[in-house]
This record gives sequence, structure tokens and C-alpha cells, in this order.
Amino acid sequence: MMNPELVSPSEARMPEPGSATPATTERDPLAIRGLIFLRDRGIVVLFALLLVAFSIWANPYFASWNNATLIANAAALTAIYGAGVAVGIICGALDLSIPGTAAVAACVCAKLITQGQPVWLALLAGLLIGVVVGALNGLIALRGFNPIVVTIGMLSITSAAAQLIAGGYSIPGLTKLQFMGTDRYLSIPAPVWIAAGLFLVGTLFLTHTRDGLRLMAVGGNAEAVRRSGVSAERYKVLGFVISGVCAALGGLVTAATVTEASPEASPGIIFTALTAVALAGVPLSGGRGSLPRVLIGALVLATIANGLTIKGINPYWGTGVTGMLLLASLGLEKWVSTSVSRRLVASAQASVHSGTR
Amino acid sequence: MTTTASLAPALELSAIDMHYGFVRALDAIDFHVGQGEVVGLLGDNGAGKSTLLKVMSGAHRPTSGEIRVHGADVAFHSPKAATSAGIQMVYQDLALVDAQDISTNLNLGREILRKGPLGWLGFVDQKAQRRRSEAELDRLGVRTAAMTRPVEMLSGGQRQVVALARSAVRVSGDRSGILLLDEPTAALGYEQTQQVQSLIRRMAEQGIAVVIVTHNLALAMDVCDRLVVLNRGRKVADVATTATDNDQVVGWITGARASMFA
Amino acid sequence: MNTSRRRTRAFTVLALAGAPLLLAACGSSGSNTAGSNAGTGGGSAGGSLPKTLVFSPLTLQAPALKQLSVGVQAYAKAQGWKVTVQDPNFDPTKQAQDLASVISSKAAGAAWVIAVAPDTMGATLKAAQAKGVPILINGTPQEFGYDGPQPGITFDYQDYAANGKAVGEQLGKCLTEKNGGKGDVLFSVSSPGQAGKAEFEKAAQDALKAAAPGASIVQQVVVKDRAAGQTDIGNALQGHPDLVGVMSTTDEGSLGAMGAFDAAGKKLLCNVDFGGNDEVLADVKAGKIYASVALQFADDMKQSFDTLVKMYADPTANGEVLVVPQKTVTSAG
Repeated sequence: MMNPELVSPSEARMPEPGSATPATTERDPLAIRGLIFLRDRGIVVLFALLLVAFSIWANPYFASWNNATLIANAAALTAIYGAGVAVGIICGALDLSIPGTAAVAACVCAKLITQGQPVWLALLAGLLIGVVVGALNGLIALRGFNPIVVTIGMLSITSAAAQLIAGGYSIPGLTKLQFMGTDRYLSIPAPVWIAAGLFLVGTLFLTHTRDGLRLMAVGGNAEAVRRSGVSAERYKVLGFVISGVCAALGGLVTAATVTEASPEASPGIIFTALTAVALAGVPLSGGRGSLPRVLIGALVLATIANGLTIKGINPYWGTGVTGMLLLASLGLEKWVSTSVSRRLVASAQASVHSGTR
Repeated sequence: MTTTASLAPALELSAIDMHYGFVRALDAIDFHVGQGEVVGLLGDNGAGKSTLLKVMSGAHRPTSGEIRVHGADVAFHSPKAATSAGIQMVYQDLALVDAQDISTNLNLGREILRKGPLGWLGFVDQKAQRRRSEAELDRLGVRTAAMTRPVEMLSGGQRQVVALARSAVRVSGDRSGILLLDEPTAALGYEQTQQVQSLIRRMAEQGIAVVIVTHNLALAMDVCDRLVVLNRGRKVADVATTATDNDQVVGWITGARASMFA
Repeated sequence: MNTSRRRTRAFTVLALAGAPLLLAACGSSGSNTAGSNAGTGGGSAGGSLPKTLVFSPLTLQAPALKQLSVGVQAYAKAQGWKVTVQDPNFDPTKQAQDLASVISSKAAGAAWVIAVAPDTMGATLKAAQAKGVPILINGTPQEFGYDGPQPGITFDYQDYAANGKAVGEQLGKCLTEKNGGKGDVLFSVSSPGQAGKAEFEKAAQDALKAAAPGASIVQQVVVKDRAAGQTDIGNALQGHPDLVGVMSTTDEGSLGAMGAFDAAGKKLLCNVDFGGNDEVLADVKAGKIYASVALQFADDMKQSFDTLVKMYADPTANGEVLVVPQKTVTSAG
């Protein structure tokens, strides 16, 4: 049916490409590639710079394996929450209910453990809480309500639920969870392993699986997904569910680290997670983002806090430094984007017929 | 280029009426397009051409009238139903996912999974997808940027091409489908319009029925086999492009020229 | 007929208001804590007020305060009193308004207030005095502009300096026992803005200096919650690997410090806590925490309620100035 000869007569009627340069440059100019490198990998450069700076300044306490695991441990927790925030933002929804979900999940798990249930069951229940809260968030937001407002409402509900379940006090004595808290495997604390696993799975999911790619597409342009015959709504809910599960996981890991489940939904969680995500260059408009960069963002934050504390400086300064870094990185991102666009437009001999570039 | 007389038209509308209260958006419209035919739908603002296109795409249900696809009566309850019947519409807003590359955009919704256990987990065979897309675009005679180029880095014309190709591959096949285009060159410059024109002609040559709503008279005269002009909800002209000229068409559009069917 | 009733009511209010003021004028010259001036006024209004206590804490959301309200209700019930619990939820205006409505409607015979904003409670105190409703309020008399005991008002305050001193002393004692009276110490403190923070911390530092002159506080860490505290103290430990002692103004600090030292595989010789929740007390018993200084809220509740009942009998008499009892718990007991 597809007669290849049909192509030739129509090609004969094609107008000549108006552009002068027939040179088919296989790669984009160096300047563009350099700028894109800066935008994509800039945060890694920043991290490396920080490591060097603190190694010199906080000598000899900073540059040691022990300290590295300490930083990684602190970063792991922020990273777990950061993954949830990032996926939410990518899908087009800032999930502010994360602290509440973390608290409820931790309290449910703790309650079950103190009642003698097996640990795996308690953990599963905690994660299921994340699924349920996420699904509720998604389904309600689908009705047309602003997702931020929906998640704020859910934050109140989950905070209250956590207080109810825990009876107002923290639930201590969760030594059974030490295997995922302060225990080390190959000298690396458990939370680091958990975060690493989460990010590996998450990155593969978002970049190589059908549902992950569709999830990112929904964040970028939900209409495009619908026109391809795929239910955009289903993937929006999936985004919330993933965010909820990450929140629950974060709550469980926190409880394991301190062997205590606190019903206090700490709003600071959102702040640090969001900062890590923003440092990683995930735009609030959604549709794009790299999970590994979020991991680096979390590491940057933890490094700053660690370095400053070692030097005896109040970590509040760390918050200030981070804030400035964030603004600087936003400015850099904007500058790089405009530079790249300008250069692309200038170099674009974009003709359909001039071949690949 | 034209349908053989023995085949039923790809898409046929009979006596389509569209009322909104007392307003008659469409009044007893007959329309047909054959396989491999390119029909231009022209008219001034408010003439009803967008409404008619939406009826064809299933977005609006007509107040009365019949729709037939390949000779069979259909009633579209939603755009999805129209898509199942083989009709694809390309809207003005293109709806491409900027952050993803050409291959991902073209394969959205019909991804190729890897063989074996990775496939069960949902892993996508991106190499195979790229190869398939390249082949499909070749068939359409389209050469574009590399499959791995993010869509946001394409020019307006290239993006239009990707959007058209995305719909075109979904209507190509044994039973070629119907492609509806809403102002495909509205935001494009001269050269880019030429590119899109070529693509439309190539698609028609492959048997796809194409209906184009446009304000661009030059485009219509160049690429369409037939022109249908609407004026205030009524069809005032249905004529082969070769049998008419600019002045006549403009006259029908503005109403200066009397309807062919008066 | 209506106007004459109104006039009568107004006169009664004036009399009631006037009497305590008259008494205050008479009695202010000789103020003693337990004195009761048998005034000339029209008898104690306490007899006509119901045996209902209105209890208005900062908020019922904090578990400690919730527990306190439950405890009060039980204790009061055993003595034949009813309790109305209010929840201002950190809103000083609401607290004042809710109290005012109960006091002015004479629905309560006594009031116990943990003020959200002590500076704004002046009017409430005066209103309670005017209505003859004995009132117990947290804080020192000076905080409310008084210099000593007042009729119908009992002050109950936390002696931050004594709290801090106990903590410092215990840490000094431990370091003397276990480390020759010297060593690097980390001071875990609460967030800025907490009541009594400055007095507590100064007293703690001074007491430590006195008890163990060779010890030095090498770093201060602000601890808000246990998990963050554990991380921050762990970081501090990196910068000061020779830390042997920690003193904390909160349970989160001491527990977080334990977690940080455990995770780093280091031994925390001397951990002294202020707070005394169940987990901490269990750790003290097991010897993991050297000592915990805890406020005895149950005892405080009893002493507060008993004082109010006493005042109920004679609301014109000067109230007392109470201190929240504190207790130091060590592994010895």
C-alpha cells in the first residue's frame, strides 16, 4: 500500500530550502553544548566545589569517611522526601501534605509494632497509608480543585489523624526498626541504601518505562497525552500516589533512625525537600526534572549544614546560605536558558529537508 | 489524487444542523471528502467552519443530520469515538510535550515495550521506537531533526510537522483514515508553510483524506483538491480548485458572490 | 419596675466591685503570703459561686497540657468540683474573652489560667478579683506588674534559674566522678523565644563551672526535634571528637545526643537531661543517662488546685506565690 515511488514525484515539487548553509553540522555548536552542560550538571560542579571548600576550611574533621557517611545519612532523608516533592511537581502538583503523611505512616507502623505485629506487616501498613493518602489527594484534585489547596487540607487531616493514633505523645521503643535506621551495612548507614535504591528505581521508572514516560508527559502537557488516547487523569493520580509513598517511606525511616514515631507533622520537611528540588533545577511549572540531580541537591544541603556545624557556626546561617544559593541557581538557570535559545535561533537553519542536526 | 467513483467517501456529512437556541451555527450542511482527497474548508470568522470541523471530530454533536464514515452510519459521542473510527484532528495548539524528544512524542500512547521480563515491568524499547518513527516519517517523506532532539528545541515549522506526523501515522494503514487540520499554518512563515504543504500532499498521496480549515487562501488554492466555502452557517460553494479562482472564492467568503446553491 | 431592678443590679455590681477594692486598700499595707484579712466587706462572694473551676491552658493540642486537664478534672471531681476546660489554642484574645464571659457570668467559682500572653492578662486578673473569683495564673507577680502576693490571685511560676542550676550541677557531678572534673561538653538548647531560656542557660552554665571547673562548653546546638537534633549533634561530634558530656534543656536533645553518639560508635560519658519523659526516665534507670531534672506537674497540679480551693473559701485574702516543684532523678533513684 505504501508505494515508495510515491515519494519521488512529491519531492520533485518541493521548494528549494531557502537557507543558504547546506552544511549539516552533526552536533550543536560548542557554546550551546557548554551552556547545556552547565545547566544540567551545574549542581554537581557546585557540590564538588563545596566539598573542596569545606575540606580546606573545616580541616581535619570534614574530609573523612565517617563524616561522609554522616552527610550521606542526613541527605538520605531529605532526598526521600525530595523524590516525593519532585515527582509531584513534575506532574503538576506541589504536594504539601507530605509531612502529615509521614507522621501518620510512622504512627501507624509504630502502633502496630508496639501491639506485637510483625515488622514487615507494620512497614507495609505504613507504606499503604502513603498510597491511600496519595490516591485521595489525586482523586480530589481531579474534581477540579487546586491541588495545592487539596494537599494543604490533607495535611491538616493527616496531622490530626497522627495525633489521634499516637494518643498525643510520641511512640518510643521502636528498636525493632533499627535495621533500617542506625544500622550500617558495609559501613554505610541503612537510610543511605534506602535512598539510593529509591532513586535508582525512580530514575529508571521516569526515564525508561512506559508509565514513567507518560507521567512526565502528563506533567509537560496533559492535553498531548489525552490526544494520544491515554488517560491523563490516571497518571495525575499516580503522581500523587508516588509522592505519598515517598512521604510514608520518609516517615518510616525517620522513626527508625530515632526509634520513635512522632505525631508532629514537621513543616520543615517540605522546606528542605523543596529547596533540594529547586536547587536541582526542577521547574515549578512541571513536566521536566532529573531525580539524580535532586539527590545531589539534598547532598549539597546536608554538606552545608554539616560543614557549618563542625565549624561551630549556628546552622541557621546554613539556611541563609542555602537560600542565596537557590536564588543564584535560579538566576543561572534563567540566563542559561535564554542564552541557549538565542544561540539556537541564530544557528537554526531549521529546514525539514536539510537533514539531521 | 482523487477517489475512484465506486468507493464510498471516507467521510460524509448529510444535512448537518447545529442550533444553539435561536442561533443557527450550521444550516443543512452537506459535506464529503474522499480517500486521498484534500478539501479546504473556508469562510470568514463566525461562518461555522470550526464548528463543522468539531462535528467531524466528535467534539460537538449536531442537532440533526447524519455522519457516515466509509459508508457506515456513525454517531460520535465523544472525540474518542471519532478517533476509534479513524479520524484524527490536529488542533492549533499542537499539544506536544516540550521536554521530551521527537521519538517519545510520536510514540506516546503506542509505546514499544522491551521483550522479556523487562517488558513486563514496563520498560520501553527506545531504540526500536526511534527506528519505527524514522521509518514512519520516511514513508511520509518527512525529514526532521534527530529523533533524540527535544521538541522544545525545534522551530515552529518542525513542531507543526511533528504534530502532523503524530496524527498522520495514526491514520495511515490498510484502511486509511481521515485527518482534520485546524489552521495548520496559522503561526508559520512562508517557508515553513511550504514544508507543511508538502507534507499534506504526501499524506493525501498515501490515501489519507484531509480536511483543512484555513484562512490562508494561497495555501488552500495550492494544496487542496476541492474547496468548500461556508457563509453564516450555510454552504455557499463546493467546487474543484481548478475550476475556480481567488476572486470567486473571496466573493463567496465575503458574501459578495451569490451561493452556488441558491 | 424595670428601672428599679436595673438600679438594684447596678448597685450590687458596684458593691461587689467596691468591696474588694476597699479591702485591697485596707490590706495592702501589711502583705503576707498566708495572711487572710477579714475584711469589712459584704462577706466572701465565694459562697455564692458554684464549685466549678474554669481551666484555660495555652492549648489542648499539646499532650502535656491535655494530660494536665484530664488530671485536673479527675482530681477536682474527687473533691466535689466540676471543671470547665477552655481551649484558647494560642490565641490570647480568645483566652481573655472566654475567661471574661465565664467570670462575669459567675459560672465559675475559681479560675486557673496558663496564659498565652501574660502581658495581656492584667484586665482578666482585675475582673476576677472584682467578681470575687479566685484565680491562679502562671508566672511571677512581677510579670503582671505586681511586687508581691495579691488578694484573690495566686501566682505559680517555674523557677528557670533553679532548673538550670540543677542541670549544671548534675553534669558537673558526673564529670567529676567519671572524668576528673574536666572535659568537652555540648549544650543542647531550645529554640530562641522560649520562656525563661536565658535564665535557665545562664544558671546551667554557672553551676557547671562551679561543680566542674575543668569542663568547657565547646558548642551549643539548638534542638527542635529529635531527628534533626540527632543529625546536628552528630555533625557537632565530628568537629569535636573528644566530647564527653552533653546537657540538654529538652528531652529531644538528650535522646538525640544518645542516638548520635551510638551511631558514631562513641561513648557518651555524661548525659544530663531536663524534661523527664518516660523514655528518658527509663534510660536513667538503665544508667544510659546520668540524671534527669523533671518538673513535677502532677504535684504542681495538686498544689495549685488545693490553693484555689483554699482561696475559694476567702477570695479576698492574699493568694500565694507557688513554684513548680522540680525533682532530680538519677540511677540511684
